[in-house]
Amino acid sequence: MPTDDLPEAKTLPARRPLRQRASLVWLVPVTALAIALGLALQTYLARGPLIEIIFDEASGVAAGSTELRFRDVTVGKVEALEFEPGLEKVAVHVRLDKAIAPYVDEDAVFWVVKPEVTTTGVSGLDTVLSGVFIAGVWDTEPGETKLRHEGQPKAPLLPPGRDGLLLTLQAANGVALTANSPITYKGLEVGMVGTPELSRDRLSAIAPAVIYAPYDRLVQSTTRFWDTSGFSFSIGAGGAELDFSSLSSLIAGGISFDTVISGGVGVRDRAAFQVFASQSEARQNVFDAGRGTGVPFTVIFEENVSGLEAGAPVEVRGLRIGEVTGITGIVDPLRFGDGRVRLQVSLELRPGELGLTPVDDPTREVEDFIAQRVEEGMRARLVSTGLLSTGLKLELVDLETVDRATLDRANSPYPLIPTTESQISDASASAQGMLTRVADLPIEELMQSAVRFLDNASGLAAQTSSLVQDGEVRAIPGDVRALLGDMRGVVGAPEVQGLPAQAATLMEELNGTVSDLRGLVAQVEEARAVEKLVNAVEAAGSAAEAAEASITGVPGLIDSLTATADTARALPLEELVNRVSAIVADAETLLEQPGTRALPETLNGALEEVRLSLTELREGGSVTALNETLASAQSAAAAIEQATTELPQISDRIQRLLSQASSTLAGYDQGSEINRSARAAMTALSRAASAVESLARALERRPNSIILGR
Amino acid sequence: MVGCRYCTRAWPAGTESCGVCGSKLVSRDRQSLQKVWAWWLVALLCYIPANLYPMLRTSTLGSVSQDTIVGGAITLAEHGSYVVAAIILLASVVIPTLKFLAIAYLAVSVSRPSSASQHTRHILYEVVEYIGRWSMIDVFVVAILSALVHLGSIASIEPGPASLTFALTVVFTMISAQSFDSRLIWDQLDDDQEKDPIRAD
Repeated sequence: MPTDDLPEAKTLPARRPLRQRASLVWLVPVTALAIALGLALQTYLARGPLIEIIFDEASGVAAGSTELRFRDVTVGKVEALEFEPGLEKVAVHVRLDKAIAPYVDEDAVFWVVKPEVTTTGVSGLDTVLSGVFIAGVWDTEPGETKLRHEGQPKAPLLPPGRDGLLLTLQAANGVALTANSPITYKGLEVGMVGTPELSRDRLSAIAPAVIYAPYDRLVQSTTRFWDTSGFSFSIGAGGAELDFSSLSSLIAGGISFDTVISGGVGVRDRAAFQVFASQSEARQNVFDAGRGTGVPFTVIFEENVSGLEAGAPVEVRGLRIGEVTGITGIVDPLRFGDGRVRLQVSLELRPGELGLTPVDDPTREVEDFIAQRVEEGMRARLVSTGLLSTGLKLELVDLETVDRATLDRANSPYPLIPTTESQISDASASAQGMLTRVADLPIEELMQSAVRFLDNASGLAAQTSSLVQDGEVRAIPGDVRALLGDMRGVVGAPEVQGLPAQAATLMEELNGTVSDLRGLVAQVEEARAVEKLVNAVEAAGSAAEAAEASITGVPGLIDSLTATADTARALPLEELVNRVSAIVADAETLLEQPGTRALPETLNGALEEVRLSLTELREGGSVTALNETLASAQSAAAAIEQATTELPQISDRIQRLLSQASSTLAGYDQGSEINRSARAAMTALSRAASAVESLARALERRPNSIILGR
Repeated sequence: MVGCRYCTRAWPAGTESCGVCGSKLVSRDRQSLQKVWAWWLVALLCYIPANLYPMLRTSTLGSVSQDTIVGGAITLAEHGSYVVAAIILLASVVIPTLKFLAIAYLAVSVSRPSSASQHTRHILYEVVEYIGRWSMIDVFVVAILSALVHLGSIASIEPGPASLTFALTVVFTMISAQSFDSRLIWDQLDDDQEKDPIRAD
């Protein structure tokens, strides 16, 4: 609506003070700014330190999104990834939560958790969807935050903050250590095997392992570990048996342990144990000090000989002080100056066997001891385990005259014990020589000659038996028996039985008579014979008659003389003398007869021969067929002997007997040819038998003599 | 004369309140420029984190991707969606930026001599006020996606911190633009006409 009256002069109102002019709306940006600044300040103040974790590779780690987790709680975030100088490693920069930072000190361990599918199971499955994360563990003691850490490729066996016992397991032959395989104790899973790796001497596989608390107290120095993986199949009387510990151990492998004997002591951390192939093997080795407790050494032999095996004993004067743990060849032209293959032996010596009781550092103490012994001349050498065995063992010997040498402690992998000349070449040479000698033994010839000899012997035996079968020979015993029968009849006759007594009395009488006779004869001879006496007597008679005739005065004397003469005549002196002289003549003739005189010798010789043959026959007792004969012959011989002793005295009877005997003996003498040949055969046979017997005895006594050749 | 800003009815100058709608009648909002600048500053404060922080947080099967506004547009462009990338860039970067510049220019121009004519500046103001709301398109996309794609760990989209600040930026620029009293543009004309005899009203 237009109007004519103009509005009042337009005047600007007076400037109001700023407080009135300023709009309240300014509070809005001020507040916003304050909030922003407050947030920024709060964020800055709440920001933890930035730590660096060095990994070999950062697979899946992404800046800005990958988290650092502790007990599955996010405590940090990766802010940046960068290479270390040289591009060999990756540094992951992680912003830690401020509250956690003090705990991330020296002992913190980091690793990247990735999804893993192994035989023991699937792990890190959550990371499939969420992506990998970095896991960290540290103890609950706050300390100074360490800003640079080395990342581990995988989770530690025994993370800080968890109690347990770390062990080193060493695989025996035929045992495969599998990473992450469980360690069970009576079926309970009480530990885990870490990633296996080669031992320092590259001869066996070792793996770290952990036994978690509270089961770590189960492990003692006498504890034995064994492999429970795989299965065993056996067929016995009880049927077929398939044995395996569990399906998981069948697939993933597993290790079990037990302490079968008491008396063990607790083990220190990182103690070494051997894993045996089976429980039985582990139990067999329960008294063994175990491989792990030994102190390792190396020996390098100039020669590379076969025969030494892992497990071979290491001995000092026959006392086992350790064992060989591994053998390998070594070629090192730089070190030895040539390209020859040398034998590198790793061995372990047990302090206990050496008589040492190490206090805290067994390795150093045993090395000191060995070093001192080496200075004194101890050397290692290879010796054969047996004379004929090809197996070798390692011996530490003290040598008097030896060049100075020391224990090379700087040697890799273990201290090097100097060596001396081995004794295997001698042993093998002697063994070889012995075998050669055995091979050279004329066994076949010997056997052939033995066979020949036995053939001869059997032929001889056959001959002998045919001889024995021979009627003539057979007749001999008959003859002898008949002769003996006769003899026995003669001897058995009462007269003969009485003969000795009679003969004795006779002999006494004869002796007396003979002595009388002799005295008489001597007297007679003194008195110029009987004839002279008779003549004297007759002369006396005639003288007497003459005297009678002449001397009548002495008729009485004559009468008495006559009487005396008559008496003397009446004496059976003449008859006696006749008889005596007859006897004497007979005896003389008998005795004068050369045959008679030779008889005892002949008889004796014959008897001797009989006896000899009998003895020989008896000795050669193998011929049983002649036993009976021998017995009778023996009795016959006894009878003959008896008869022979009586023979000289029974002259009359023996005359007849003698003829009979001589005829028999003649026959016997004839037979003695056969006898001799038989005897020779017997002798030969008995000699042969004794030879065989002595051979047999010799073999029996020293059976190895045929091998040894002596 | 004073016109009601809401029902556009003109009242004699000095009238305290509109007889139609009852709103307070003020010939000139003397604190208009202060409000403009205040809201403009807040909007600018919000616009910084809106561009630095991720707008969208997409997790698909565990893999989480976060993109800022510009980063998202670049990603889209890399995947060949140039049109979408261009729209996002236009709606989320170009328009808000231009809006900041335009409001600042208008606010400055009312107190200082301007080369552009009042009419041009008024058109500019109209355009700014009209187009400003379209900047919210990005925020709406985020809101709709967050509401729709919510399949747990398989796929989920969450608004990032930038979405909130960006929405605030848009809101504050709109308030800033609203606070601008467009009549101030023409006051300059009055001042000019005081020098020369031509009067508009």
